[in-house]
Amino acid sequence: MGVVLFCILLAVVVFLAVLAIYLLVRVLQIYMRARRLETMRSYETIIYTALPKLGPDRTLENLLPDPNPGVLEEVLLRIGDEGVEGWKDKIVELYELSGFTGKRLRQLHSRLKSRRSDAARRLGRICDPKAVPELKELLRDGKEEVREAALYALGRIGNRETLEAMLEALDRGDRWTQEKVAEAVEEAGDESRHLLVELLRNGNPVGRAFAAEVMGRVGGAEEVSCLEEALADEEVDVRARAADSLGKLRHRSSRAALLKALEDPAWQVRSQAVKALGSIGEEKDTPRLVEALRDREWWVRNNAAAALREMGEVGEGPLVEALWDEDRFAWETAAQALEENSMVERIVEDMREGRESPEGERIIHRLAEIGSVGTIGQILLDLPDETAKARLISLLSDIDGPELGKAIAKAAGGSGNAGPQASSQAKGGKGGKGPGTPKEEERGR
Amino acid sequence: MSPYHILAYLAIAYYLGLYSVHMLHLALGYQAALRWKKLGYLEEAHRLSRSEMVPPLTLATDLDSMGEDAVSWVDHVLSQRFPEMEILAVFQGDPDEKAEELIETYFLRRVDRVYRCVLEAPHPREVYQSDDRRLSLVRTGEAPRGASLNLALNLARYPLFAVAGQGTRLEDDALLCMVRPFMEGEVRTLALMGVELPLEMEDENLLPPRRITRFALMESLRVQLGYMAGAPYLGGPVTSYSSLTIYRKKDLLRAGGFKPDLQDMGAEMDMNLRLHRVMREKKRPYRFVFLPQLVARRPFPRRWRDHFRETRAQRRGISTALHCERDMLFRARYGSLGLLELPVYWLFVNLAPVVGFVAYAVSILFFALGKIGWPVLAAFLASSMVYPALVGAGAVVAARRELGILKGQGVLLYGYAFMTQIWFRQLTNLATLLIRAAGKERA
Repeated sequence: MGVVLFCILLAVVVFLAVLAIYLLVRVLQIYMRARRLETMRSYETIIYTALPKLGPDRTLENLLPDPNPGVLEEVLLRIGDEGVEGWKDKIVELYELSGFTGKRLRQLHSRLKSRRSDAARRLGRICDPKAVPELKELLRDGKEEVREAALYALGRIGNRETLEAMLEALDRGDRWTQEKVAEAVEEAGDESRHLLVELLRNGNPVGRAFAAEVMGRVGGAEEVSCLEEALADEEVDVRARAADSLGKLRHRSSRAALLKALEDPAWQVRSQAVKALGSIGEEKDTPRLVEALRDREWWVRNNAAAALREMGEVGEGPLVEALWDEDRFAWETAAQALEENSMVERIVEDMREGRESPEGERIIHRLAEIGSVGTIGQILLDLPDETAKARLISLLSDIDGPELGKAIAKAAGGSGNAGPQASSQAKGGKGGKGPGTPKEEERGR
Repeated sequence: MSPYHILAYLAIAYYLGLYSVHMLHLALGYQAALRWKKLGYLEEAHRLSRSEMVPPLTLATDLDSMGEDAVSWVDHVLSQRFPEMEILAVFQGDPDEKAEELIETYFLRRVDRVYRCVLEAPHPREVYQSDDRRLSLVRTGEAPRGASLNLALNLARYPLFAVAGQGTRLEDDALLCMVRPFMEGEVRTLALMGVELPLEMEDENLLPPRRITRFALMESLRVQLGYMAGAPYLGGPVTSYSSLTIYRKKDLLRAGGFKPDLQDMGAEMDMNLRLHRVMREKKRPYRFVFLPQLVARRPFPRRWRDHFRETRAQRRGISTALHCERDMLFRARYGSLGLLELPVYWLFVNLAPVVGFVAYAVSILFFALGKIGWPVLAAFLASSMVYPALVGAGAVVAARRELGILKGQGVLLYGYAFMTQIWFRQLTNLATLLIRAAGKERA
């Protein structure tokens, strides 16, 4: 019994001791944090008020004679993060005078990867151009974390030298590196454009593909010819990205090259080329885009339909014509694009307003005939106008198909005038395209 | 040494071993969190919102998973800062109120969508689509989750494929934060998950209001910040489930898609295991990533019944996945995964409740019969309760340091962490055991 009581007592004492230590640690933590914040605020005040008037050396000598190094560095880094113009050089100098630059440069050669990456990030935050040669070396470091930090730092410093070094780092080829380099290229503006041209002409495949892609974001009329040349590159990736960029730049002069790219054996290039032609939006190109609706590759057809849709009225005519195409790929894709483009709704609206539209009726009839009855079915159900509904039902009366039959029966049932035709269709006519209106592709795969 | 002592020492060794593995995972998870922090992850993620290099993403979910207010769920997801994405919501049966509401709110138009059918999946009966093509609502017949996901995969237009589970609510910029590992090319990222917290937490620094939710949260933190965050460093996790997971569409297709007949979590758990298989067969380096950052919230159990139901669903999912891929067991072709991790995991999942129960029963019985002394019993209780409690406390420390959450309730928080490991886990294990036995009896 005594032992048990002793154990309980011991447990209570241990618990209380742990609790006391925990509370003490928390109090100390809060106190230290408050002190640190107070010191940081006073350093900030000194730097902001004295630095422009006294300059870095005298500020340090007179007002910050014995600073807390950790706190001072943190304050300088935060000011560096803000990147205020006119302050940058003074902060870099103050950072160096305080001995932090030397220390961090030494740490770039540390054995510990965490120390190397931390030092690189700090030098990047302060934007000290003197660190560039050593940061460039760090881009070849064996550790991903360190390379990442070097890339970040070089991107922050952002001069021509860093840009060139970052472009060299593209060898790694991952998307994240490309993203970082692209950010730096965009920030560098015009200075980066001729570097990209050079890279597109002489770089390795990864570099060329990168340059082709980024030119679409930063390039202008001068880069168009380079991108057109790149459409003949031996690498598929380069050709596809060049086509995409030409679409973004929207120069009519590149139409010829893009039309030629429609004959490229790689579907990636063809799909980007049709998209680009859609962005340029020239009426003369619509026959070729319609031709692309018959492509064996789904993405090419999808992009061709999207391109025609994007072209507005100019593209709508060829899409309608494609409904009567011999190729099933073409009419199915065209039907989807027209449905997405609210073509059916517009025709029905005309019907409601009593406007005669034989062409519109022909389109609706054809859509129903080929089994694209999704939108038609929904409209039949939603249409409040009985006259238009009856007209639509009579227009579709000669078409068999269970899906359409159901829709007509529902619509007619809802309005209370289900005709014999509708009810016969509701029972499911033969020869339709099957129950699922969304179509899956079975051919050519 | 008597046989009673040997058995008691074995029980002690079992708990010490088991929780040492938990502790190791926790330490590795902490290391992972530090790594992400050092990579400047959070600071740089927001810049991606303007990038054209971010791979576009398809988010697939069930209409039922959106909760009561589907419109606000969709609104919330579409308001995420992400360069290019689409939502594919699949529902079964006739359009209900929720579907109608979505159709009306977003002016969804029924279209005859032409898609590439690359996986075995049910046919979509209707596809409704918004004008900007960012939201598609797909009606299909009754189908298990695996089949629905395959249908979504067929319809998905983008290279990344995210799956959102029941009641999941995405955190702001969650997708943007999660996309970066897919852009890093050194080792291929197969699947990416992140930390999930209860929907009921009003304030990140306070515990949720209900006790059961608090216990479930403590246990979930241990699993997430321990096993899920740490296991990738040991070649795992063997299998896992999260309410928000991102895959590459290409990898899913290469693995043959989800198993069409699998239900609930089983489909995704099986997929994770199959992704391991595919990559190991091709001998390609890969990794699963668990982001030690809050990405989603989901409903945590509010009642004991919910908790047991959820635990049972998880165990069933794991068992199904392990059963489906059982031929990976003890195969040198799959490296340490096949030879060590999978068998150990299998044993742990199937036998841990039994072994735990037996260990307690034996130790207490032997002590009651006077076969072992109180020092041995004390050692057993220390290894089976105090040591696990330390692991629980470790998970809380990790949550506070890595996620910056739960900073408002110090002592109470650690109390819950201790209690969770002292009795909540044991009770859950025991209940699982009883439920399984009852289930077999009923069958």
